[in-house]
Amino acid sequence: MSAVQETRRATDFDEDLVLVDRVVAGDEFAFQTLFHRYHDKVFAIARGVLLDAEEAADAVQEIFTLVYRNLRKFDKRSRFSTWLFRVAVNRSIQQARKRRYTKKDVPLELAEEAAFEVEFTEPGDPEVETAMSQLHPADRALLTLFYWDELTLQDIGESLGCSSNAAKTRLFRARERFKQQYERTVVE
Amino acid sequence: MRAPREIEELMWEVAEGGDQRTIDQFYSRYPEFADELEKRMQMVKTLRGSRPRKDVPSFVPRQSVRTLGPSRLAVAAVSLLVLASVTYATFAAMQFVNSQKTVRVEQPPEIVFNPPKFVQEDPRVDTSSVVEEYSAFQGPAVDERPEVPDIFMGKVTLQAEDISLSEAIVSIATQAGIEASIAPGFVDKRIRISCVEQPALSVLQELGQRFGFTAFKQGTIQLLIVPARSGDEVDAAGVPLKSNVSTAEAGSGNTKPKDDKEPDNEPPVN
Repeated sequence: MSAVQETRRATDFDEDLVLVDRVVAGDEFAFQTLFHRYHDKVFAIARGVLLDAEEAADAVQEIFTLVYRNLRKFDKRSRFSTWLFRVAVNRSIQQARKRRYTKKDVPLELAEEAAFEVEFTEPGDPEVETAMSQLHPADRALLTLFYWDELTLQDIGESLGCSSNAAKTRLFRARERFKQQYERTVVE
Repeated sequence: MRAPREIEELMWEVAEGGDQRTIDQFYSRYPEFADELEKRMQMVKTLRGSRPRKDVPSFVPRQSVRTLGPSRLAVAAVSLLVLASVTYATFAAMQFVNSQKTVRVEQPPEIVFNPPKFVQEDPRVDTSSVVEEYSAFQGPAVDERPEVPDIFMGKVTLQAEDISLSEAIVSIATQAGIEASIAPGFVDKRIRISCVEQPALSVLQELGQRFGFTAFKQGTIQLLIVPARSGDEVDAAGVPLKSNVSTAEAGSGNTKPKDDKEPDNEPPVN
């Protein structure tokens, strides 16, 4: 066996699968390790799609709960992270769509308090926030996976259930739409 | 100026790569899109810089996870409802189409109703044809009573060499269905008669002219024989001018021929 093949096999080896096997065997500490390893990326997805820090934090707990409960169903044909990101994207988009039709009536005092809290914990760019809020949740998920989680087109395609070329095309369109909204926001 | 898609994709790659050498090459090759590249580089930098950060909490599995999409039971119920609705709508549409096919009448048929007229039936009249006509409720209306055949004109045949006049009258009347009544004073006599398929009333009138009586119609079927004879009929010629009946008194040897060309030779009849 050549050295090139050995190197590729070592690269493709998913270290997460060891932790997955340990969790399935009953080692709950192993899942805490997975949680700490992917929390930021999953939170970035939820935050980018939902545009709300508290709601995103709540969604992260639900996403990892779903993964924890269904870990035995994971067939290991893909990497664990790909499966995890797919669950995160689908769950966040579902929640964003549902929230769009069930807007909550929040008293003004609570709304101001929540805004202050978000601003305190997340000093993100307001123009980016405004431009992102004008996009479709699926576009926000794409931009989040690419710019915040810095996934490759291959990983994005696997997470969204499409090819890398399709992911590239969809990413290009999402970027263009974001650019239009961003420039409009900056001008205003 | 909007750049072609290839240039736009290239600008995104250059902006995301951030390599200064690549950026310079792009500036030298596409100076007209330098501003666009600057915008994208600034946008990518801002976008990446706005990545949310949060301290990693501890994972506490939730007791229950919200169901965001419709439950499978709800989907099944809605699907069943939609299927039932579509089925019912299809059935109703088919019923409507079928009803339109069968009920559509271009022009209502003209119905002529001729109520049957009450006809007092004569027991001797065959009204079966009339009944059939009425039962059809159509066809020409029956405006008048059907013609009742005159029994006095019924054809009779009597040939006898020696028969009493009264028997001859009764025989003729019986053949025609006439109820003959002979009044008192009738003088009977023996006669010879020969008539074939002649109207009964004509035969009786001819006998009356020849043998001295008058036949009076009484109603529809009755006939009265009165032994009185009008003088005109007796004295003018003695016999009818036109006769199809051959009669004579029995034993006289005198027979009245059918031919009416010999009236002068006919002896007077008593």
